[in-house]
Amino acid sequence: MNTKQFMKELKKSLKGFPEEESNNCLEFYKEYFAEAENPEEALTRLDSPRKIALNLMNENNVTVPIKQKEKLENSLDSLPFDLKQKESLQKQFSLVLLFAILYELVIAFCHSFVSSDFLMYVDTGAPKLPFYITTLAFVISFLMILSVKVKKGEIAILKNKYVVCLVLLMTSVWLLWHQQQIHFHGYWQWIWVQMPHGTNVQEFVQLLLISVVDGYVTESIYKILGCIVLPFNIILNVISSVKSRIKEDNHDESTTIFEGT
Amino acid sequence: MSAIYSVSGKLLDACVLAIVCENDTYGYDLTQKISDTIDTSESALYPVLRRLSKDGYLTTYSQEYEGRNRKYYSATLEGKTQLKFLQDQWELYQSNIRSILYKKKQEIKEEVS
Repeated sequence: MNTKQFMKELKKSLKGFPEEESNNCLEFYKEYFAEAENPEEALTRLDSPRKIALNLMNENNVTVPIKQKEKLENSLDSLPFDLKQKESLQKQFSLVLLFAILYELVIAFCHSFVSSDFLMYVDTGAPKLPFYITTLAFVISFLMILSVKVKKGEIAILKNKYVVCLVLLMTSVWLLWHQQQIHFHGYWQWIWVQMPHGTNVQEFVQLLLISVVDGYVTESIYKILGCIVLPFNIILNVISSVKSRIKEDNHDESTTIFEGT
Repeated sequence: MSAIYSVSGKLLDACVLAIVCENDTYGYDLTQKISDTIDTSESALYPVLRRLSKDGYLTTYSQEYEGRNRKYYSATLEGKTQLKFLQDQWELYQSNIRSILYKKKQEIKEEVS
């Protein structure tokens, strides 16, 4: 970060502050860099823009909109991305997928109940057990993601973080296989085969709507998204735990140095 | 300068006030004077200056320097009174701490050596 970027970032961090406070602070740092013999070197002696804004807000009781306050409080400048934001996104995404799965689960049970095919698909003869297992694994893994707790701005996955990773990994593999075995040869093909016979767009849209209501398309979407989001979750969770491990190590090191003196 | 004791809060206020009471000064100069003596982040000083100005202990004025305006901080009478108060408080605090820290100084010195 150079001084120009610093000022830009500071201006962004002071968004929502009273105009006088914001202008005074920007003016101070503008003058600070103008006075310094080597502005880039002087920059290294300063805290991050977000921390500066946060300190100003806390120490001088500056009234700031709650949204901006939360943004500053939750920021972790040492990390390349905002973990809390990422976690919130992850939770929202997981919730949407969870609803999609539950929706399909209900639909599937209703269908099975009506046609009495609890154990296999009547049309393809494929076993239904993998579907139940996958769906349940999905529900469990998403519930686990939702149970992630935030401590001091860091993601601190509950004791079972390795279990979460394992379940997610197994589900992803299982899902890929399941997708290959049943999905493409089943629903997508079914829609694809229907399409050429459809005489017009209206019929095709109707067909599509029916399949959405029936859960075919919903299932396809969540499974495809699942293939992306689950490995993505695993990677992010591993990164988070490695980062917090490194941070803990650094903390231990500094404590040792302090004790040594 | 690095130290194991940190300076913050009222003590930092007192240090900033003391420097400004001695001579009118501008932001960068003040941060350098403080950081040469005390182990504190240079960005910790702006909130202090802002707070002291808001409380009426400091005033500011601009003076032209090399074609631009330099903002100088100057101590008000209230600021000088506050510094006197903070100095008295620091002396009291210091003597209290000393009474704990150096109670058995001689004994410990002999034991260590």
